[in-house]
Amino acid sequence: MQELAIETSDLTRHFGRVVAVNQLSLHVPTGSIYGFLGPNGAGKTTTIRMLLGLIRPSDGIVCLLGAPLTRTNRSQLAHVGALVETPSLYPHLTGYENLQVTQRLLDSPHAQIQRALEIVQLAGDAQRCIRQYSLGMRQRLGLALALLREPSLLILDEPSNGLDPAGIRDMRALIQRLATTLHITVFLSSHLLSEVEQIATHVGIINHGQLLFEGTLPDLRQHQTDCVCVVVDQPQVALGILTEAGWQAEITSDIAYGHNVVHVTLHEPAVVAAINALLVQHGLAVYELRREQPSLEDIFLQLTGDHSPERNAA
Amino acid sequence: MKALLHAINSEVLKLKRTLTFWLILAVPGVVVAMQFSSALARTRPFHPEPDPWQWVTQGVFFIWCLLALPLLVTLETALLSATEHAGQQWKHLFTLPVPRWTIYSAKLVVALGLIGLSSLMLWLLLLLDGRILTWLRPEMGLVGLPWLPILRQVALIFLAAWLIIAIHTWIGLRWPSFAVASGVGIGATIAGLILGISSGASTAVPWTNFYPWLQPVLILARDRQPLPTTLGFSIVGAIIVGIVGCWEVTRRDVL
Ligand SMILES: Nc1ncnc2c1ncn2[C@@H]1O[C@H](COP(=O)(O)OP(=O)(O)OP(=O)(O)O)[C@@H](O)[C@H]1O
Ligand SMILES: [Mg+2]
Repeated sequence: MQELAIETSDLTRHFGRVVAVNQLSLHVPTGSIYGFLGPNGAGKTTTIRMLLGLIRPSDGIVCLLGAPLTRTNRSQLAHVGALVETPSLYPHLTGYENLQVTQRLLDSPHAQIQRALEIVQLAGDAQRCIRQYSLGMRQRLGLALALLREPSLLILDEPSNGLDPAGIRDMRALIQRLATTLHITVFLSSHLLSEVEQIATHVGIINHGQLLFEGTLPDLRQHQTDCVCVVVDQPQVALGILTEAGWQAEITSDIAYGHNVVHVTLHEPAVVAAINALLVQHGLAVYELRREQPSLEDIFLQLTGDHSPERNAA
Repeated sequence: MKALLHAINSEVLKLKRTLTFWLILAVPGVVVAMQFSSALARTRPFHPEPDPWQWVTQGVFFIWCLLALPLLVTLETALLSATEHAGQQWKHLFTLPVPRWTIYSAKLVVALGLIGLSSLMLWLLLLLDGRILTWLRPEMGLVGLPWLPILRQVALIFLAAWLIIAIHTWIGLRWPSFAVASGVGIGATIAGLILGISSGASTAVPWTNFYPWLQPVLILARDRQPLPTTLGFSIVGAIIVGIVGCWEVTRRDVL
């Protein structure tokens, strides 16, 4: 088995003058649940369309399950299930018939339909018309459609889009189940880190078409330096002392302490005690000293924050 | 080839509970019913016709070729492709490990099949129409049941419609808008109607003979263009348009 289920190198796509995806090199390990994250318009859907051969890259290559995907070589798609944006369903057909359309096209065994319906827990509603399906049911049927091929790789574009909190939780549990019990590699996009944080083993963060980070979740945490919040009686004095000592510090406010908080960015964890000693030496009253780990959400926001030159120039 | 059969099989399932299937029954029904009621309501005496069956079929064929068939082709192909555009099916279908051209060709085959079925329906209804008139209007002098010549004519008209079926399948699948698909068909049919009527005189404009939407009616006017030319133009044209469509669909970006 190859190590990478998806590998792209320098994948680029222009739409006229807009660069939707810019030299993207993704590495999705086999067996992982890979969260592909980015804010709206980051280029997630465009990337996924290229991964599936729906649109051609302007540049770069896509390797799926170890083989390059080209217009003539698409045989790997037999092992890839996909759900791009909203599920593609025929509203005048029943849930069962919708699956049957694809099953006939693929000439896969009939039993696959029932199996897929059971996985997404729609067997009971299979004889109802799609018109009567709720958004959540449609989304699950879309997933069933992707499972018809018994895929070893699932590519899902915002599978929880439009679902209520319970629906999101169910979808997450379902994806987790697919990965663990059926050993499917899952590549899923989202614009919320919190949505994938609980299940993803790997994340890739994209903004303005560029990959900002790729790695495991612990890697992502490491990516960010910790900081120390010091609550003192004379913040201005403390700021002066700490800056002089060579630390990166700023005054921030806090609901409980108002403007008495000094925020110090830590470059190495050992210095917390030194900070305390220094402030006390100068006769300041230190009320509180706490180490803060930024939440993943903060890291995400910081990474995708509007500091990239592309958007500012545009 | 096998993949094409699977694709056709899958297309047929999509026709369930759609207007598409009823239209192929309804359109010939309306055309024949019009002829039937006009024959029934006629108060002027019937002149003894050399071929009364010819009298029955002529009017029906004329309306069928000039108006009903092109409009039926327009509607059927527009409906067939609207099913795919409406639910954004391409982004699902084209991620399947099936060549895109098979899906396109299956659509074309289904469109041809539906129009073929509709033609068969027209044939059956014409025979029924004549049979009932034989009984209700004996003075018309209808005798026998010339099913073979009528079938032959219906089949030739169907073959002459292949080109417009191929053109409309491509237009429908290429542009997501139902308005574009039906607009082009209605426009082209009306233009054909005007061309057909105005060029009915001896000063025929030669190129109207190669107007795709007029090919079926040329089957009725064999003095205007020999049969092999009409059939050849339609069938070869359909194959070329079909191949171009397949080529285009494999290159298309699915957005
Ligand atoms: N068909 C198109 N024509 C022109 N520009 C496009 C097209 N599709 C996408 N874009 C542009 O490419 C960029 C990336 O779009 P994309 O849909 O990939 O973003 P996304 O990450 O999926 O966003 P979202 O979270 O909103 O779904 C956007 O700036 C968008 O305007
Ligand atoms: Mg998107």
